[in-house]
Amino acid sequence: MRYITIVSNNPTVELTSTDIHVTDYGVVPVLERVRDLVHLGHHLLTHPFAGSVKPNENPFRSVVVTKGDLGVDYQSVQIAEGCLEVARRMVKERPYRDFPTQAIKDLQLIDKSLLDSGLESLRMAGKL
Amino acid sequence: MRLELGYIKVSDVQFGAITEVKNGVLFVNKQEMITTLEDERFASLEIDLAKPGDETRIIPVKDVIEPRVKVQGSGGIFPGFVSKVETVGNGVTHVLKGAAVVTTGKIVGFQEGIIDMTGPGAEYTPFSKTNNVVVIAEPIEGLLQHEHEAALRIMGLKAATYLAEAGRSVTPDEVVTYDCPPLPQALQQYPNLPKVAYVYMLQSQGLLHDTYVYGIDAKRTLPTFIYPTEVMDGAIISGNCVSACDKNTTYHHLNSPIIHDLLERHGKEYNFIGVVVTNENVTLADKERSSSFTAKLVEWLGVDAAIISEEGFGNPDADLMMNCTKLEKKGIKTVLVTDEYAGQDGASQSLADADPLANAVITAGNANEVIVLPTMKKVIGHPEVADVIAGGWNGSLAKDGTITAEIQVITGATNELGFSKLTAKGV
Repeated sequence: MRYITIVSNNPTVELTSTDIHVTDYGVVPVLERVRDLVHLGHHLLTHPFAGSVKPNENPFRSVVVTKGDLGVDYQSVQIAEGCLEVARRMVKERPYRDFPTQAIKDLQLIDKSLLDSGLESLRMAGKL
Repeated sequence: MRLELGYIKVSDVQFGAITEVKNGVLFVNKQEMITTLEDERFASLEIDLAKPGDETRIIPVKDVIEPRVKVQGSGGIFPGFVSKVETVGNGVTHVLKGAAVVTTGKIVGFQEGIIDMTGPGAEYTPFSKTNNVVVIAEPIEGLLQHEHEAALRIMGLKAATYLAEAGRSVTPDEVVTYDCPPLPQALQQYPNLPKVAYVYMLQSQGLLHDTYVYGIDAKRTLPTFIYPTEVMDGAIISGNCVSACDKNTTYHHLNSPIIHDLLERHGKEYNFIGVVVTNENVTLADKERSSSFTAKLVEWLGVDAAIISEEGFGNPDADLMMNCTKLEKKGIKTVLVTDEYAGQDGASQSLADADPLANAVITAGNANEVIVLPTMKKVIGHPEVADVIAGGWNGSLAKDGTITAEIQVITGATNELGFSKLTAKGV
């Protein structure tokens, strides 16, 4: 039984039917979806920002929230809104460049490896 | 815990028949060094030199390591990797001050840095002032990025250890002694001075984002105490491929200015009680656990105030704020050391997280400031990486080799341990 929902636009991440595949390019559409979910009562399980990677450096992003409405968690709302604001500002100021194929693979790998690190921790905590 | 650091000043590095330090010159037997380092995970291995003032660019830089050797005392340098996992931080350690090993390799192209040995970029990195022995190792086909990172990390540590052996029997030019007494004694010292602790945050969020303490990945540990002198003997190792400007290389850890300054002013301005090492995490539950443990340990030390240093930007800003607010709520004053991503004009919010209790913050600089790095006569590594490196953009690398990018691309430019020359002046 999985108690999580992964919101991701990274094609290398395996998603289940209860996860949310975001088809738009860039971090902002993913964080907008996460923001909407936390207002609907999902709680953030992983931080919306990845590692030390800036939102305008890596267009691929995967965030884990709880599955279903658990009642609004104001810390989640605050973090999700704050990260979305910073991401919008940074992407507007310096949009994504055209990445060569190998760089795209590296960017997806970094996002996936950080997600996996979070999932491992959640697995130990019995969340999946 | 008492450690004597014997600084052997190295003012030049050259290839020679024997690896030795003579009259301030580090001679390197290139072939012997290559033979010592050979590893089946690399298809080729080359050693090059880059000295202050050379028209040389090293790109992409993975790690920088200072050669150190334990001459007396328990354990050996870089415990958990090069030496057995035995407690270090006591006895005598010799340091080849002025020399450094630089490892280069295209692991994940966008996350490594640049070192220019001359020109405007050289002003932003401390490693333009060191005599660098550069290890250039190209991986075999099919080696995965995390395997490449691990192999190159260990090769860099071995390279530094190999060079440092040359200093084992050399009489140091300067000896500095650090005394770090056990807690009951430390608390009784200097009763009239404020008691201060240091919270040392380590990047530890996952593959290619890790830092190691005595060989263990910091995210697999709970926050814990460490003697400052253990850090000087290589108890903390960088294993991450994060943005170059605010990555703490192994060299930074060995020479942490926060630790050294706290020790220097100990007994004069304050009573420096101890260091808590903590991690930076992916999940919010892990962040909560680590920051609560950190606050508890610092409270346990009975201090009045704490300095907290961050590594990285964005996600770790949340760990930084949690550490800060939990300490402040216990009545322990905090000073934060971080860097900024405030936009190219410096006008935007600097951090991804903030709190009114974070009312004393030291900045190590704005990583978004733009710099033009002129062409160099010699490039060691892969110059094409400039087009994908974090802090560059489409067209950052001009046809003539000039790089226009944010100072984020330069190794150590906004180091959050304060190891740089950037400063702010009132106008």
